[in-house]
Amino acid sequence: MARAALSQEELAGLYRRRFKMVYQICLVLMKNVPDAEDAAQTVFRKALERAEPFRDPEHEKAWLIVTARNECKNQLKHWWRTRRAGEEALESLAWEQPEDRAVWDQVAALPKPQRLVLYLHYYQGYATGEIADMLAENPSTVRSRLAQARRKLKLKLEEEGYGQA
Amino acid sequence: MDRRELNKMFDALAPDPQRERELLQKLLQDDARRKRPMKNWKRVVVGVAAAALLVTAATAAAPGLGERLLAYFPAYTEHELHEIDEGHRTGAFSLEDTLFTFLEKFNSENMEDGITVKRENGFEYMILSDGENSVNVVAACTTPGDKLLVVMERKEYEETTGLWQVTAYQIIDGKTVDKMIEDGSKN
Repeated sequence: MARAALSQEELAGLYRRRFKMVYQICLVLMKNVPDAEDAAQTVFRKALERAEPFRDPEHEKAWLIVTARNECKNQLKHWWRTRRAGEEALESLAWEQPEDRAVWDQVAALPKPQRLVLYLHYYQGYATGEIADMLAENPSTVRSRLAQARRKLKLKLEEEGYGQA
Repeated sequence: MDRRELNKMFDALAPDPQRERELLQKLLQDDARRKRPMKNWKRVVVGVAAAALLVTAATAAAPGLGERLLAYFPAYTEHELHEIDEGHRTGAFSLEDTLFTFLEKFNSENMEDGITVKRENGFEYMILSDGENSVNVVAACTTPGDKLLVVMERKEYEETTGLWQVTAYQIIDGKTVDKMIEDGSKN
């Protein structure tokens, strides 16, 4: 049987539950606020267009993660972005704590797949096997990305004296 | 760096609550607009009828413009095509001056109800076709997926190289723009 579209209350509920996560993923991948907002809004529009309901909260969460990843990938290769001027001016985030900015600068320098794995593993608490299943990647690839990210962060932070007394 | 420091930084990437509410409001408004009680075929009829009327008016005002409108404006869109007989009052000798002033006025005068052009560190725009006396530009809007298509014409003006003016505009969707670019690149 065909499913009715989400009601405004259902949409608002989904948004309140998951917007923070979707936005964080988009920001981690896009590295600027306007593009992250655009991508996150598009993810929720796609959720509205889904023909099937989510099986359970974990399915809902995983679908949003994958859709956010795919949307960011699409936007990053889109003509609009590639022709836009002043890109570097957009890539500045406002930080209240200087130490957060220092950590972000290190993380932002990592390749996109490593940034995403880092966020999903450390912040969202997914095991590497779960990330591999969700993103349809080889588990060893995910483990390797995480190891490379850890190694690069540690080395870079030591070079810049981060955390030293 | 330890996990606590990393997660503290990720925490700081959380959206501002006020901005989150604004974005939700936009999403709900977009959703409500899409669900307006209007059958699809009626929308098509309205879109085509509006285009036909305006093309007639445009042809009367400036010979040749009708054909260009037909060539560049999609046959169907939810939003009305606006044609400006004598050109928008923001005419200037510089194409960019004309465009930017028009986009500013588009926002400040709420020329398309509830839709504004994105302006963050400047406008985001792309020139779709660049002729000697006619240019078509598409600009990003604050509502995701929407774009503003602007047709600009250079009109004769005394003994000058001509005055650029906006002669028509319409809100269209990103997929249509992609299609227009794709079609343009084949020509």
